Amino acid sequence: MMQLQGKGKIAYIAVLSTLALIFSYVESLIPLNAFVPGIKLGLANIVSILALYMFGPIYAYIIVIIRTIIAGFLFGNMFSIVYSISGGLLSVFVMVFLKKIDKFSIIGVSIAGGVFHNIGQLIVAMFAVNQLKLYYYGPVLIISGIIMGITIGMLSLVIVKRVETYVRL
Amino acid sequence: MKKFDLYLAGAMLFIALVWFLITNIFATKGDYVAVYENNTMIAEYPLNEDNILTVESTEGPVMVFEVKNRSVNVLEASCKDKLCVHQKSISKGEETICCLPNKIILFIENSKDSSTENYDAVTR
Repeated sequence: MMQLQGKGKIAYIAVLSTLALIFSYVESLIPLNAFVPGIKLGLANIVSILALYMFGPIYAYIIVIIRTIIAGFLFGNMFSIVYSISGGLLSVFVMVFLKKIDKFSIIGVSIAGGVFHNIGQLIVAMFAVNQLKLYYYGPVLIISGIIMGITIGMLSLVIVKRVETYVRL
Repeated sequence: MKKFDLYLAGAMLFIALVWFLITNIFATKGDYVAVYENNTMIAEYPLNEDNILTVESTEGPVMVFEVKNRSVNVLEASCKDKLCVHQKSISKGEETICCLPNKIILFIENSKDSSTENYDAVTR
């Protein structure tokens, strides 16, 4: 993990946020919704994991917040900002925690991230419609979270390995 | 991949399975479909009559759904994402289809609540 300061920090936050934003856009072009309502690829989670592993937890939090707010304004609405920010923050929170325990590889961390991203959204959706009847979605969201988590985790593993040697300050 | 990753994935799968079983064991056969807008019921229909119905919210018609063979399926919706249209049909007690952009929920109920018999918000 690198210690960044001043301009370097801001530059990396900006670059990674932009990357995450592009992933959000690409994701919005892939209609996975046709199979299960509400699920997403979670490509932007690659960036959160990258930031977490290469720069530290605070970067992951900042990038998730920036990405969800801007993506919400560009491709969604106020609703989708609230959903994705709560899902995103819960997912980063759990990933930071699991990484700190140091028992899991990047894939395990990513699985937890994927599952808790969905759980976070489900919780907010329950509050938004003010009815707890949405619990039916739970199992589907957990399983899709696991599958996406494994995929994203494997991608992140490869990416972190390659990028780490090039990112220098 | 460490073995703890597998434990984690296994635990999550187990939770999903238990969750699924619990929701299915306690599922009951539904008799009515209720339409909620903003958490208030605006209409209710029996499941044993095949029908094609339109949900009319305060902003006009927002959703068209079909009651067929005791199950409910959304045919059309005014929102952009069409999640409710893609979702498979519902038939068991407490199953829901919800359209978050329009704040509409279709909910399968077991018995009729006599106090909420108002069809005036809905056109057939």
